[in-house]
Amino acid sequence: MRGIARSALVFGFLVILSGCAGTPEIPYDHSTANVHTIGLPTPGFPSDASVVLASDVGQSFGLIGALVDAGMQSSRDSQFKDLLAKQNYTASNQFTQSLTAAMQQHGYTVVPIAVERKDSGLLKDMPPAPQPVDAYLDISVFSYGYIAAGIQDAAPYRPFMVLQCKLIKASDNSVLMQDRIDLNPVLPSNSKEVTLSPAPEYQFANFDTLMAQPDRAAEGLQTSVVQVATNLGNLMQ
Amino acid sequence: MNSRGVLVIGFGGLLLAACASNGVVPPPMLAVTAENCAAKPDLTLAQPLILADKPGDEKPVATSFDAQSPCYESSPGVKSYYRIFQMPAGTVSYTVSVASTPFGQGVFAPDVALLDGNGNKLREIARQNFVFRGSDLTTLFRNHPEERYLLVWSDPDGLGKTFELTKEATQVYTGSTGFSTYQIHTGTDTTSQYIYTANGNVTITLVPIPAPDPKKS
Repeated sequence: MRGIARSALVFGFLVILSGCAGTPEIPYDHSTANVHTIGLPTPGFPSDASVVLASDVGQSFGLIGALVDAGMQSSRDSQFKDLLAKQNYTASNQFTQSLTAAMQQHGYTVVPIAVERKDSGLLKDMPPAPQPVDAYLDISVFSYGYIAAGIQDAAPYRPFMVLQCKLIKASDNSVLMQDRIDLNPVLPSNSKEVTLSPAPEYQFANFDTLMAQPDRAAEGLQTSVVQVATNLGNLMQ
Repeated sequence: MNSRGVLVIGFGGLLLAACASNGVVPPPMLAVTAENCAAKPDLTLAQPLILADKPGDEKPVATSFDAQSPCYESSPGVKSYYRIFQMPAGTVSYTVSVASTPFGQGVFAPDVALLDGNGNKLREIARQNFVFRGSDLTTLFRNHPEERYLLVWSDPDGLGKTFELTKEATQVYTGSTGFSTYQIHTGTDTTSQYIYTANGNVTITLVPIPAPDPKKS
């Protein structure tokens, strides 16, 4: 039952994000920000990847259909979790590594700050850093994994990821940058978040095909995590 | 490209064509063929940009680029169509959004620079700062007080280059049996190829940046 609730929560997050969360995008201005050292609190990350079917027959059958759908998604999530475990792949670690590398490439010194997040979303207060920092980059990944728009093979499973981020100046808490990145959005959106197209080589006609190619399934996720982290780094050029 | 790709592009083009205001999608222009281009942009052609008092009240300025647009020749033989805009005076901080909206298979290849009051270039917005935001190829940046004009021109190096985008979507069809209604949920996955052009549509929007919350500092 817990898995079903989590599955519903994932889809709820996607719906909320697609409906425009109302926070305006604020671009970073490298030339005036005077930021050299960035504190990076451990990014918020869902406990596991999700395998989402955005539209299917069950949605046409009210509450019973929704419960059946949630049960099926929970089953997919569970199987995919096992697949990633066997591939020894952890998306959150790779995301932090890729983002750190991207920021260093843009000339920043990155100071990791270990944080245990109790709630989803961005932090309310910035944690103390082990050394002085000019700004904090707070990141919350809402959901990631694979998503298919529909049940037919022509709507294959492709990687997706949704996150929100905010760069906050340490000296006065002013917002230097805030944005959202949506890799492979399926639901319509009115907002102006960064919208990334998934790598075309990682598509799987259906769930069975996805599970039958564990190496490629993990590789596709890995590629998408790097893609999102690199684009997030680019927002701070 | 395989036949499926061609079909997808063709279908996407038809859909977009149906949405165009006059029902006709202009052909993509892959070169600037205008004669007698000026050596530099004409500041007297600048359209004013308006900064709203608060977020949500923005007044976007939409403009199009086509064969009738003014052109300038940055170096011999290198021509661009351009539009120029006057930025609001003052020291208020705001975000400038420059968004190029795809039409059919084409999307205007934008280059952006900020000029001082005499038309001298103060900074250029790097090409890699353009990303898709929603359906538009967009760059966001903050204003600097000394910048008085925003120049948008067709990027001569970008014309004719292509890229692919995959878009997924869901649809809901509501029907009726006469006794009750029902819904059918479906999803689509479309990959389209786009080409950078010298014509197209661009929207400029200024968005005020909220002041820092004094309670938090």
